[in-house]
Formats: sequence, C-alpha cells, structure tokens
Amino acid sequence: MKITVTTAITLSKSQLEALTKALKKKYGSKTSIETIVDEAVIGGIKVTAGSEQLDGTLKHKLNVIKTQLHQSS
Amino acid sequence: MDIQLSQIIFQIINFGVVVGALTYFLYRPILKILRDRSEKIEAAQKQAQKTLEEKEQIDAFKKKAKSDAEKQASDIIAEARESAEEQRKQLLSKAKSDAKAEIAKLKEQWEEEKTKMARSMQQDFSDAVMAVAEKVMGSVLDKKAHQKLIDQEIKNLIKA
Repeated sequence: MKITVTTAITLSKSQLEALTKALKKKYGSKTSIETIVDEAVIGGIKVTAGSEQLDGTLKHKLNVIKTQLHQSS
Repeated sequence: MDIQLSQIIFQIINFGVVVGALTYFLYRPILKILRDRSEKIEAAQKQAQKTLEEKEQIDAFKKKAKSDAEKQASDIIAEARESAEEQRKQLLSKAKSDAKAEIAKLKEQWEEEKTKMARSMQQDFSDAVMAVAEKVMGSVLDKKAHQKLIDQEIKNLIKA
C-alpha cells in the first residue's frame, strides 16, 4: 500500500523513522511511504492512505474553523 | 164704405186657411229644423265634453307616465350610485389589502436581503481573518515550531 505524507518542511530522520514505524504497524509491513513538502499546508502533517486521510495540518484546522464560522453566521 | 159680414167671414176663413197652410208648410218644418239643429248642437256639445274628458285622461296618463319615468330614472340613478359606491369601497379595500401585502412582502425581502448581506459580510470577514491567520502562521512558524507540530501529530497517529 502506498502512503503519502505531506508536510510544510522536510521531515527529520527520527520523525520519518517514527512515522514509518507507526504507519507500518497500522497498515502493514508492505507499506511504501512517499513524502511531499508543500508549504500550503502551513504546518503539521497530512497522511493519505488510499481513500483514508489523517489531516493534522494547520491549513486543515483553519479550514475547520472557517467552516464553523460560516455555519454559525 | 160698407162692412159686409160675408166679406168678414170670407176674410176670416181666408186668414184661417193661410194660418193653417203656414203652420203646415212652414212652421212645422222650421220647428223640425230647429229641433234637429238643437239635437246636433247637443250631440256636438256631448262629443266636445267627451273629447275634453278624453284629453284630460290622456293628460293625466301622460303626467303619470312622466312621473313614473322620473321616479324610475331616479331609482336607477340611486341604484347606480349605490353600486358605484360599493364598487369604490371594494376597490379601495382591495387596493389597501394589496398595498399592505406588498409592503409586508417588501419588508420580508428587505429583511432577507439584510440577513443575507450580514451573513455574506460575516463570511467575508471570517475568510479575511483566516487568510491573515494563514499568512501570519506561515511567516511566524520557525523550524522548531514546525518540528514540534509534526512531532505532536506523529504522537497522535501512534496513539490512534
């Protein structure tokens, strides 16, 4: 399974190792990980595994706040 | 001049014959003519009276007909006025009701528009705030803060 990890800056070696370990535990040992650096996410990390997405980026959090503000108005 | 009795008698007889003849041939026809004329005059008077009465009847009838026509015309005018007044009231009432409904509709539209505009302004404002926040966050976050955020998310992922 191919997993894409998006961050605003390049992951450190220790971060990549910890992440690989955690993802292989969750999705299996045959998992391959691709890292992408995209400043648009502002900060944090986004993991995309097939149709599943774990979005912990600041961009996503701001979008959630924006949606809530739109809904409350 | 001698007065002879025979002559006197003759004259009397003669006078009597003349009177008889005049009575028979003149007086009676004249009397008949006068009677006929009198009857004709009387008939004409009766006819004139009758004509007069008929004229009076016709006049009375005409007067009544005129009075009836005037009353009828007056009734028609009164009815038309009443109908026009009723129609005027109905139209006025409908116009008032329509105007009221139109005002209520416009008020409602205005309220909707106001709410929509306020919502749009609020959304524009929140979009602007978020855009500013994105830019500020992008410029404020240093490498250390980025690393910290990523570490935190990796921890969350491990926990999940």
